Amino acid sequence: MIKKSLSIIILIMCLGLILTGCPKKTVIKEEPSVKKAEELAPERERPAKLEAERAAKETKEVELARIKEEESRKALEKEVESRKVLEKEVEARKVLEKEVKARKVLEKEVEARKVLEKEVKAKKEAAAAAEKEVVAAKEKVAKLEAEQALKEKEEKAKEEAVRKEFEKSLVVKRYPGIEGEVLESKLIKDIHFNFDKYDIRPGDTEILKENAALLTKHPSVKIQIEGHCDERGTIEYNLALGERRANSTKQYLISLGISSDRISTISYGEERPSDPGHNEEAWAKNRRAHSIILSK
Amino acid sequence: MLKRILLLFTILFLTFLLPAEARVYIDINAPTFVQIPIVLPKWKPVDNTPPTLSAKAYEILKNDLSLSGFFRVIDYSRLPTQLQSKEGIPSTLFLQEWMPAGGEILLAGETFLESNGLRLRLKFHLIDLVEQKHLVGKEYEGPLQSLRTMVHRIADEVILQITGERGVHNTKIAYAAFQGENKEIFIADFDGADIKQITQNRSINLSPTWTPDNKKIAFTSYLKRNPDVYLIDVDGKNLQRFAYYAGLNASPSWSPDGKQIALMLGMEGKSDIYLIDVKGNNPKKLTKSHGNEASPTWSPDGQRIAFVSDRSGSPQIYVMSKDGSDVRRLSYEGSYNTNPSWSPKGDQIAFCGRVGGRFEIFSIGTDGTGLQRLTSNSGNNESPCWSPDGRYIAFSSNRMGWSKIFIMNANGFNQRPLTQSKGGESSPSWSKRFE
Repeated sequence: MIKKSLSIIILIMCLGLILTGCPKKTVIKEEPSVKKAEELAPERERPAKLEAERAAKETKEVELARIKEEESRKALEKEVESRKVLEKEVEARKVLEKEVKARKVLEKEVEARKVLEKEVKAKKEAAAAAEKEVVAAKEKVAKLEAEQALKEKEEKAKEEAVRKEFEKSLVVKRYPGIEGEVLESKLIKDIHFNFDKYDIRPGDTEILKENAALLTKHPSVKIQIEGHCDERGTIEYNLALGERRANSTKQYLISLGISSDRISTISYGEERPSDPGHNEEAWAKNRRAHSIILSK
Repeated sequence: MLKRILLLFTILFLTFLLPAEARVYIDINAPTFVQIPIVLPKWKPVDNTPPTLSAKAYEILKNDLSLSGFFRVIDYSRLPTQLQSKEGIPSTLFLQEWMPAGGEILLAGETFLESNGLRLRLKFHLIDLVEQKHLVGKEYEGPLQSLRTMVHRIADEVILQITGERGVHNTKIAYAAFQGENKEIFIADFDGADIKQITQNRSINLSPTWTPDNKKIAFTSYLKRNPDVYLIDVDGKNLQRFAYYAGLNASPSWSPDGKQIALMLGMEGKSDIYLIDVKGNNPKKLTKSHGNEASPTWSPDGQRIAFVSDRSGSPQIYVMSKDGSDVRRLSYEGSYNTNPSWSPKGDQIAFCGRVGGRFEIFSIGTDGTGLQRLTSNSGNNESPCWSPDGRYIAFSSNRMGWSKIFIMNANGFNQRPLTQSKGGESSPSWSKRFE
């Protein structure tokens, strides 16, 4: 504001100066009269009286002329002065203009600076925000890490629980007349088959996924999949069918990422029913793939 | 031991020999035939021979003849009163008096126990009552404990006279049977007597098969936690692990020349038919389908093998050449046909088929024609196997509640359980004749 009012004052001053410069014109107009007096000079060589008169006149005239001269000189001086003033004014103006220009430049700079400042401010704000975010993120990470640590702890506890549960679920099983002692776990579940079929039923894939998950959790466990059939059909064909049932189960577990060297197969045909009945219900139970644990 | 006993037999041909213009009593190739009524007078104990011994020989012979399916036995107790007490071999001069007996043929005999009580002589005469003439008469001698074998030889001889082919009374049938919760291998005579348990390992022992020399039984056992093929002597000695490839080893079938064995092996994750040598080595895969292949059985000429395959989606009977080529399907009826058994004559294959939820025994010509159903409406009937003369089929049936071994004539007649035991029997395998 101050700067603006300053410039306004300066402008007003300039205008004042311009206006005061106007008398110059009148001075210029008086010039021809001075020239007339000089032209009249030869006439002074007339009678004395005339001379005296003339002399008086002359003195008067001289005085007048002198006055005039003085006046004109003064006017001239004035003019000169005014001119000087004008020049000064002009210079001042120029200076002013320069100043104005400079000011404008300054203003521009100031504006630019303002913009810059704004930008800087924005950037600073952004940086601050970013920092905040970073902090927040760090906090989050820390939180997550803590959570994860907790989770891991929980998982470890869970794993331990799973291991314990698995250990607990193991039951020693001896097959009479068959070499070796094996283990059985109710956590490894049986799947069942349709009559004379060996493909995995869609409903049983979940069971195999659970079995595979269990095997993944216990990577040292080696199992043997037993293929079983119901009592219908012939002994030898059922041996072949049981072989295929055990193997299709094995292949499914392999497809779920279980290493093939952890799974062996055996067909018991119709020799080891889980239900001794002779009806559809018993048969459905007996057409199965059952897993035993060879080593844990 | 058995051989030594057999060597001790003295066969005395009596003066009466089979006449050249022998009458054909039974055409065994006919789908049905009428049983010949045969008169069996009481056997005579000669000198100091205990009558119980005579009676025993009589009972064994009577049973053999009725089991054979060729005869309607007229027991002495069913004879007219005046003939009931007549013992021993009648004189040709008095054959006329046997006419009221109602038989076409008369079989008479005598037992003679030597004074030391160790050696036994059996004498028989076979008489055609219609033509009033002797057909054959023979005398056998052997140790007392060979009584059964000697009587079986008489029965076989009678059948030879009547049918033109020797009987199979001196054959044995091996089978698996429950012993508690386990299955063990047993052997019984054709008449169901003399049951011997030859394995006692408490394991699962399955589907026995005679080796071609009649000296060993091959079977599948789980002794080593894998179904492997083992060999064992008929007296239960010398158990030998024979085929033990990864996975299933089952159902061996010896080629007629005894040099190759077809069997089921599961070494590729499913059961296929392979050939191995007599040492159980050099397996050669014969089947190439994606199906389950089971139960190989050789043709008697040793050129082809019948087997089961579910390559069509359900188990069916197929035949291939012994190198695995030229596979063709034999069974088209029904959706479950298994257990093929090639007949010794080579013209038929018996198998087990599912009809209306039940399993029945069928036979079919090797050209796929002449399908015959041999059992019906009596439980489940499985695992047919032929007698060495092709006139009988042994199979398992649960018609009595428990699974038991049954024997029938090849045309489905005369079905009877092999033994009087409680049951739980499966997978019969018929030996060759013990000479």
